[in-house]
Amino acid sequence: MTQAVLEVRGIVKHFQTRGGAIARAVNGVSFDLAKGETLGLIGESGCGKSTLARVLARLDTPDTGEVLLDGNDIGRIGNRAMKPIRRRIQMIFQDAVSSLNPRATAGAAVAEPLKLHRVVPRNKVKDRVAELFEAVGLPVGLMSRYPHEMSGGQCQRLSIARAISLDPDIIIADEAVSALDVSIKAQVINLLMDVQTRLGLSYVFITHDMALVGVLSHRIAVMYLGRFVEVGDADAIIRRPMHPYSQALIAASPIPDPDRPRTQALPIKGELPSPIKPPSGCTFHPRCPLAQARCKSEVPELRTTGEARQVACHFA
Amino acid sequence: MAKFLSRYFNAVFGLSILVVIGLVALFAPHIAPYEADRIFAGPRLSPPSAAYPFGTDALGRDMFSRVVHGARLTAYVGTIALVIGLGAGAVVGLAAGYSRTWLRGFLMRVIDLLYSFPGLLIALALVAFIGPSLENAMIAVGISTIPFFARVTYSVVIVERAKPYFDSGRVIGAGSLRLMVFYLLPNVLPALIVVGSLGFSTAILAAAGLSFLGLGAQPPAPEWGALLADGRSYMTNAPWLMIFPGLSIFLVVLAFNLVGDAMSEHFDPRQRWKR
Repeated sequence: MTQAVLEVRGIVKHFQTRGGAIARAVNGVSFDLAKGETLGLIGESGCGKSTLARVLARLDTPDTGEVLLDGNDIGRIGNRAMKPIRRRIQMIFQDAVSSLNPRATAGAAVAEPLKLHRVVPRNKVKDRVAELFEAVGLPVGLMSRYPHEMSGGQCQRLSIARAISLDPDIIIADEAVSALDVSIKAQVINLLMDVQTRLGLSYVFITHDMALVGVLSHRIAVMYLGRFVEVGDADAIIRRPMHPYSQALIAASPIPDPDRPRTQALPIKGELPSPIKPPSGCTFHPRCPLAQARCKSEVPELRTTGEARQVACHFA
Repeated sequence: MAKFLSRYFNAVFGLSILVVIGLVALFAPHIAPYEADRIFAGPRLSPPSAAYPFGTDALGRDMFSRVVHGARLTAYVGTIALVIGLGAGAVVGLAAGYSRTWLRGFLMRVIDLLYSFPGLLIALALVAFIGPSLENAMIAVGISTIPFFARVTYSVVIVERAKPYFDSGRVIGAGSLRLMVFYLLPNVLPALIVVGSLGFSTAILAAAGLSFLGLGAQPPAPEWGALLADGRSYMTNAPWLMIFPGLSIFLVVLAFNLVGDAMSEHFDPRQRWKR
């Protein structure tokens, strides 16, 4: 594997709720992201995926831990120092339409980052915007449209154009295609993959669509209650998940692959516990079909089992 | 057309009043038969007649000419007070809503403090401090409305700030000023236009109130509030001295409120589908 562009070390992000309780949204997450790699991040709603995404895109600062971009910690640097780094990490949001300024035309939305970072000389901005429109398959005629005058798919293409205009190294896609129709979804995914091969980008791709994550990612990280419970090669995890939570998650999702062996996981019961009062020991133990006394007291560390696979379970 | 009229009757009605009053203010010297303070233009205290449609006052001044000229002062007062109140209020509200540091708390507590006094009281105190004149009354009324506009702006800004487009601006590296001016301001503007049109009537009313108390326009300026004050001593035997300026104030305020209500309905999509 090539050198890591992004190294994430022990990210913790807690939020104080109104009542003064502390929600442990992200509770010690570490991983590496190689150049040109896609890391698929899966997990239930509320497991901390989006908070992690916001920390990686530096919309939030981590409480502790480091986000190393080429070895330099960007986790807590100020806004001014952050500006040149913004060029390198971009983010695409779930709701395409509302992630665009309602009062800016499509052309202006793409021109803005170009001007802001002086990517091209001022008189070339227009040409570059047209190129980017073409690159994401948007008709140039849409340039004077406002977001509400365009479809969800077009808006998401526009967001992609805006993100790649800065020629970033990393794009964080937080449920970037979840809200799109199936046919549009396929087009946008193809576009994302196409852009990746052309520009050599790395993606952190957050989704709860198991079929999608298998197609798109090189590696998968399964997140549960603010922690990674399993990380490894995408195909390997989809075919043979090792953590009971991953097993349940994958068994529960329809994956259109006839060759895939049927996983014999027992269905998990109950709801995701509140991150305000996470269970003791292994946070998954109240729902785990394999849970034993040890799981209640001892936190399983994420440890390497077999090649390129890390699992946080006492029995894996 | 008929459907449009029935749906927007209030707005059209209010707007027509405003257009008429606006034209009157603009062409006051051409419409009024006399100058505003020409004394003995007619007999003293004569009731409304064909020659003096609004009657005359104790000095024989033509009330119609005075009210017409007063429209200019009213437009002037309302505009300046609104510019001060809305301008400063929007800046404070924007800064407080944008900031996530101590600045937010500080600005909002100051605004809350000012908001806890009745606006007219603040205006009164300010005029007492800087001296009575029409200009000072406008400034005082403007300042007294800052807390209201700041609060409204703030409440809209914190809603807009939580929307994903704001974060998408941060992600591409937009600075504070850019985020405020290009992201937040255009999106709070519709709300500001609505409260602005309502604020206009508040400002006119407050300025008329100050003038009525003798703290605003000074004689012989034909400001409507001042006209009311002048006519007060003759209320029983020459009621037209108060009726016409009073009616004028009433009409302008009514018109602005109708237009403001219609706009707030128009900009609120939940209300738009009601009918």
